[in-house]
Parts: sequence; C-alpha cells; structure tokens
Amino acid sequence: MKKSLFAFILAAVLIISTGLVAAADLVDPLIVDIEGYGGTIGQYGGSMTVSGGTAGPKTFNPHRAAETSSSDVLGHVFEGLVTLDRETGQPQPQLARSWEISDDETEIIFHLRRGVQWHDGTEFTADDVVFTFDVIYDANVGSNARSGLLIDGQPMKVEKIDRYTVKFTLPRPHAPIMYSIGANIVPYHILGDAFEAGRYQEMWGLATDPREVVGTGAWRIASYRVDQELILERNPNYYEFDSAGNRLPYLDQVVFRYYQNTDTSVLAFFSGEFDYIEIPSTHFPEFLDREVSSRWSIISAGPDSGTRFIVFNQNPNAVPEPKLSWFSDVKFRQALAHALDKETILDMAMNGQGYILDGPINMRNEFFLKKDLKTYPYDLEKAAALLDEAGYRLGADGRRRDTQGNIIEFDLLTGAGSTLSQIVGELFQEDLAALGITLNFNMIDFNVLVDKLTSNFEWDAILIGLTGTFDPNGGSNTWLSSGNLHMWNPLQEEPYTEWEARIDEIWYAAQRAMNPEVRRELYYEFQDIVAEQVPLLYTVTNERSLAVGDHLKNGLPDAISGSLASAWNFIWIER
Amino acid sequence: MQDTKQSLDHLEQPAVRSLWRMAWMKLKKNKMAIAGMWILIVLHLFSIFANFLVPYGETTSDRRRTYHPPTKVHFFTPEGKLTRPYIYNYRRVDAVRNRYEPDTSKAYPIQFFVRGEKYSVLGLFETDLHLFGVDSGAKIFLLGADRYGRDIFSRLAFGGRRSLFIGIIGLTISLSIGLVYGGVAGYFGGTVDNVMMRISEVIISIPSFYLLLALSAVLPIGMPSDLRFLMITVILAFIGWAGLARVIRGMVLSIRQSEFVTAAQAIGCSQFRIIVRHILPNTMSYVIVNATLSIPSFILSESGLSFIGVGIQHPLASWGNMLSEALNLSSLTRYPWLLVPGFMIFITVLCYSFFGDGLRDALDPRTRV
Repeated sequence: MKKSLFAFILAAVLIISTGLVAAADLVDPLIVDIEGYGGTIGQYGGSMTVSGGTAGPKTFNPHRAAETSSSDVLGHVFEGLVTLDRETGQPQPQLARSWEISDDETEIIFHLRRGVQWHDGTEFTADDVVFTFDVIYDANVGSNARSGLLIDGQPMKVEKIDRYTVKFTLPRPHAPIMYSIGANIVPYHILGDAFEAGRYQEMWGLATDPREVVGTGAWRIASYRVDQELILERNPNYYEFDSAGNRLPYLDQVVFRYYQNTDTSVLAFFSGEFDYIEIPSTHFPEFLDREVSSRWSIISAGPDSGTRFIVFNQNPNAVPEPKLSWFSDVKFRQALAHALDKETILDMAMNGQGYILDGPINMRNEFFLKKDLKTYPYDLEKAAALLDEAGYRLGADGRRRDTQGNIIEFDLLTGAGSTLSQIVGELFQEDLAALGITLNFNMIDFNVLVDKLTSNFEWDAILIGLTGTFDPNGGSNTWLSSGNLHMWNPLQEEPYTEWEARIDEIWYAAQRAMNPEVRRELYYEFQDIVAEQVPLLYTVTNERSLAVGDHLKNGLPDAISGSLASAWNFIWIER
Repeated sequence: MQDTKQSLDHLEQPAVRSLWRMAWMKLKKNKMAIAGMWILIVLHLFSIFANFLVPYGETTSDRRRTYHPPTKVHFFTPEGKLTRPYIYNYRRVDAVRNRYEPDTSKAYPIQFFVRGEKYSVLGLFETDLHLFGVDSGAKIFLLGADRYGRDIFSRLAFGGRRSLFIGIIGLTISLSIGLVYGGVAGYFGGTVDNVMMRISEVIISIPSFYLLLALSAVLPIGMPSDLRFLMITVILAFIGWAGLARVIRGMVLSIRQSEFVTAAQAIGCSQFRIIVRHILPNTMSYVIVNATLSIPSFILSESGLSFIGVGIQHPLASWGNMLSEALNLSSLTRYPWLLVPGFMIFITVLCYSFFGDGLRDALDPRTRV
C-alpha cells in the first residue's frame, strides 16, 4: 500500500514536471475539481471501450452533424466557449476563461483562454470564434446550432477586440443565450479558405483522414472504420488539469464499437468487451440478475431528459372534419388523457424503471419543474363520463359518436422498432376500444413519420418522442406557435388560439427576463396551461441506468443528462 | 350417344375406387404419415372449436399479469393424495424481474364445462360455455402469458385459425387457377400454350416476399385486420399458382395423346368436358401431393410476414405475430414459453411434410401393397 502510494506520488511528480515543459505556452489552464464531483485523483494509461450504439458518425464536421451518432463523438473533439456545469447545468468557462455582460444586457465580452492549442499545434484565438459564428449563421451550412443562436430571427454581431477577446452584441436581451452560445468552435486556419470559397459543406466528410480533423478537445480521432469501430486518442496538450496538477485526461484512448442491434451490444458487455454500458430498460432484469456475480455495478442516473407523447393533429389546413372538431376540442383531449394507462406502460415497457411524465419540462431540471400540476390519472370511467358530458355518446352498437352522429375512429402512427411505442400504442388502442372509440394503430418507417409530421401534415395522431434540453427555452420550436415542431398546428403566422397566444407571450417574456425567479414563475404558468389544454398526451420516461465496470474509477454520471460522457476527461482505470 | 357416355363413366368408376382404396391401404402402413395426419386433424379441430376449448378470449388481457409463467397443474394434494386437478393463483413477487410465485393458501380446482366469456357460434347463437376454467380470483395459463397478460394457450387456438387456414384458403385459390390454366395450356398446345406459359413465367419471376412487403405498406391503415389477412392470402395465392400450372400443363400434354382422350373426342365430348372430366382427374395424384406439400409454404409466409409486423396486426393473434414477441434476447431467455408458437409452426410444417410424403408414396402406381 505504502509502496504503491509512493510510486503514485513519484509518477505524479514526474508527469507534472514533463507536463509543465510541454505547457509552457499555456497561460490559463482549467483546473477540474474532481474531488468536488465526488471523484479521486487518477492514474495515467489504459484504454476504455464503450458502446457507440447502432451506427457511427456520418460526418466529422461538427456543423454538418445532424444526428446524435455524429455529435456523440464530435462533442469530445470540439468544444465551445462555455459549457454547462455537470451538476448545476449553469454555464461555466470552457474555451473562454471568463465573460462580462453589459448593464443593458445586450453585450457579452468573452476573454479567451490563452495558449490553448488546436490538435495540430496552432494556437486558438479570437479569429476562430468569429469564423465559427460566421459559419453557423450561414444558412447554406445548415448547422444545428443556428436556430438556438438567432434572436427574433436576428444573428448576434460577433467582433474580435484583440487576439484573446471577443464581443457579442445581441439585438435585445435574451436570457437563454448563454445555454446555446457554447457551440463547437472550428479552426479558421484549416476551414477558413473552404468557407470563403463556399465549400464548407464538403469539408471533413467521412472520406477525410481522421487525423486532419482538428479540434481543441481532450480527444482527437485516431481512426474510424465506418459503423464498426472508432478510436479516440488522448490530446497530450490539453489545457485541463486535476487539482494535483496532472494534465487531463488520464486515459490513453477511448474506443467506440458499433453493433447493429442492442442485444448484441448487451452480450458484448456481458462478455467483457465494454467497460461500461447504458442499460436498455428492457434488459434491466438481466443486468440485475447478473450483477451479484459480476465485476461491474449498476448505477442509477435519474430520469432520461427525453419525452414521449401522443399528439392530435389540430391543423385546420390539413385535417378534415369531423376529426378536426374532435381534436381541437379540449374536453376530447382531456378525456382521452384519462385513458392512457401510464403505470402499466411503465411496468411493461421498462420493468418499472422509469417515471410518469405529466408535463413538458425536463424532469432533471428541478428548478423549473412544477410539482403540483393538473394530472390525468388512468380512469376509464372518468374518461367515459367526460366524453358523454362533451357530447360524444356511446351508441347501442358499442361505438361512440359525436353530436353529428359521426363514428369516432382515427389513426395513430408511430415509428417502427421501438418497443415502448408499441406498448403505448397497443394499450391505448385497447383502452379506447373499451370506450367505444376505434383507434387504428400502425407502426411506420421513422423517416416517413417525420416527413408527415413536418411537411405533409396528413395524419390524425402521432406517438413520438423528443430529446430534452436542460433549459426550457430549448423547446422554442415546439412551444412557440410559429415553431416548426409546434406539431399540432405548426408554423402559424398568428397564434390560432388564446392559450397558444399566451404561451407565446410567456415564452418571449421568459427570454427577456434575466432573473431566474421571474423566469420560473413564467414557466410555471406555461406548465399549467399545457396541463389544462393537453396538446400533448405525455407518457413516461425511463430511468437512465448504467452498468459500470468496477475497474473504472470516477465513472460519475452528470446531473444534467445522466450520461457518463462528461466524465471521460477524468475517468481512470485501476490496475 | 347418351347411353355410351354413361356406360363409359360406369366403366371408369370401379378402377378409380380401387386405386383410392389401394392408396389408403398403402398410406395406413406408413406410421409417420398417419401420425402426421392425426396431429393435423387435432390441430385444426383445436382451432375451429377454439371458443369452446380454451378458457379465455383472443384479446382478453390482464395487465397485472404480464409475462405470467405457465400455471402448474397439481394432481396430488400437499399430503400426496390423488385428487381432482387444481391450481394455485400466482402473485407477482418481483415487479422488476416479473417473478411470480404460487399462493398456496387457496387451491382452485379446475372446473369443466364452466361459464366464462361470451362468444357466438357461427353467428347463430351466443353461449358462454367453456371446456374448462377456474373460479375468478385465479387465472389458468397452461402455457403462460405474454406481455399483455394474455393466455398463450388460448391465443394459440385463435391464432391457428389464421395460421393454419391461410394455407387451405390460399391453396384452394391457387389450385383452381393452376389446374384450369395448366389444363387449358397443355390441351390446346401450340401458340396458346406458348403465350400462356410465358405469362406464367412472368408471374413466377415476381419476387413474392418483396411484393407482399410493398402491398402491405399500401393497404389502408383502417382496414380490418381479418380483411387484411384475407387480402394477403389472396395475393399469396395469386402469385403461387404459376409453378403448379407449369407441371399440370406438362402432364396434360402427355395425357392428351392417350387413347381415352381420343375416344372422348371421337364421341364428341366438349373440350371443356374432356379437360375437366378426363384429363385433370389423371393429374389428381400429383395435385394432392403437391397441395399437401405446399400448404407449409403458405403457413411459413404468413408467419414470416406477421413476424416482421406486416401480416396479422395486433391485437389479433397469429402464430407468426405471437412469435415476434420472442424477438429479443431478453424475452427469449426470461420467458421461454413465448417460443411455443414457433414450436407449433414447426410441428405443423413437419406433419404436413410427413403426410405429404406418405401420400406421394401411396398414390404412386409403381409401388404395390
């Protein structure tokens, strides 16, 4: 014990001294308070293998990445000016060492970290920041970050003050901007020419040698075999240090492996191929059974930030009568909300490992989450009574009709391949049948579903999920009546109903309010409106559980997403 | 004229009868074929009389009994005395792992001819009589329950209606088309034959599985599941007849040279009558064997389609869509009773093969008793 401790100190001293030589130019290191997060100072070396899911990146270009399979990897290679704190979810320094907000809240000045190197050794400067925002604001690039960085459709003005200082000018105060401003910074010295020539979109596709993909992050891509294996290697010049002065990250490399099917990934984990895995909720019992005699442990990481819901189409331009009248009738939606057996869904789809969803706010964001919302517990008698009351009466043939005598029958679509969606749909179908309503439930190709939702608008009801953002403002495109994901009646020029108008008002007010308490009051009112109007019938969300190898130290899921990815920089392997 | 024909028919009859009798005697000697036949008869009867024979309805679910294991039937009292069969009610003791344990405090004897769920017999009258069941408070799941707490034993019977009879319906359609088409092409020969055979080749070359995938995608969503099932059967049949037609045509080509055909032509029988009465019966032995052996392919097609979710739709049962619940590793290892429908498909296909093989040997005139 003593001997190993001595060796450890010796190693640490050696590393610090070598580290200091290499970091001679680094003026502003970032000290990570690992102990503060509940971790320990680690040892160097080793390789970690993780499951990357079913498919790998489709591009190496962070502003061309549209799917999580790409951004999951690129998020380790590229960084933003700020990042969200893994515990509080608040903006904290990353490539910027500090910032100042002017009194009128329309100017933000970022002081950049000096001496940060791109992976090829070039220094990171203000030019890269200005260039990156030019790229993001160019509509032809199609960056995912763009919509979150527009304020009333206007871009911010981004100016270089000096080599290490950048000024952002906002068209108006916009409180949530700090949550989206941490977009991935890309190198001007490599991509600048291509961008000016209008060829940015072609850069850094999969044909590029991964070693030419240059970021500032703790990891750089060493190799990639498409949809099979991707290797990230340690950035030896990274600017983060632990409190003992060791340069991070500890690990030498991280390997992503991709398997076509979740079952295979689970088997690979059981055979020891992966160092940790996120447990698919359908497989939870198997993990529980095996945990006792295994060299790994199950960690619960709280609710998933995603939501899953049933939405009824209320688009007057797309839905024919009488369906439009049913779906736009709040009493109809409220009654049907009582017919959703969330407890059973939780039990059947997730073995009870999950949470019932009642509203639109990310369950992990306790600050904004309202606890005493109006809820719609499963109660078929109540649902029947509400339908009767609203004029939807049961006929002698056991089928329910509206006041004009139309038989109530409609289609529910969902994406194929999700067990959860299948269970929700099938139970809902059965319960509506008990109410005398015929629901035709069908699972279709996911892309066809998205196409219906966002461009041809021809559907009755859809069961789909959205990934959550930590800050409520991330739901702008869903909740603003002009949003493209305002699914029940998208892209409105003027709010169609009173309650939608009120949500728009709340939304803009919350964007202007810099005081969190004021924002909270506004979002509370928003949650009440949504609970009353039920545009979306919320279902359940799963508990995020991880199985983490016992040799893996500092495997700490973060509070904002329950993922282990933000701990990679300080995970270490015990020998 | 009339007299001659009658006597000709009369002359034919005894020969045919003795051929069938001989075939039956040969078939009876083939133990495997007979066993297959009996199992198939039992399976079909089980499905036809599903309402009466099984304790629960096709879509009856109990959400608190998800993945209920097969109920153990006891014949002896705890003291070891033989008694009438009884079961215990099962309680879920571990919701995460779906673990159930019998509650031995109360025994539920299995009752025969009990009142249960209502069903209608051929749409004529309603009854609620079931062969067996237990008092409410307990549930009897002989083969366990699926995710929605539905009795797999009951669903096997109802699913068999679709999975077993799809073959018979489909075969009837494809046989009728194939026989007539092949008969006509073979009898007339020449240009007619040439054109008809090219058409059948076109149909043979259609990749049927992909056609079905495409078709089931365009069938309207609101279409009742049973109608959808019928559509799929009909489509399967309409692309399945061509192979049969080709063989029939070959046989007819050789049969039409025979003396009895010439004789029938000489006495002025109509061409349709010659094909149907004189030529096609001579292909019967081949047709019967072919039919028996091609029923399994219909069953497997239906199972395949339902397995990937484009055949019979939830909540109606077919063996294929029941089996699709066992698609992932987790349910396979934890709830092995979900595989029973696969076992049923296996047994059925095997029995049809044994029976078909037996028939072929029996109907082969070159073998003797």
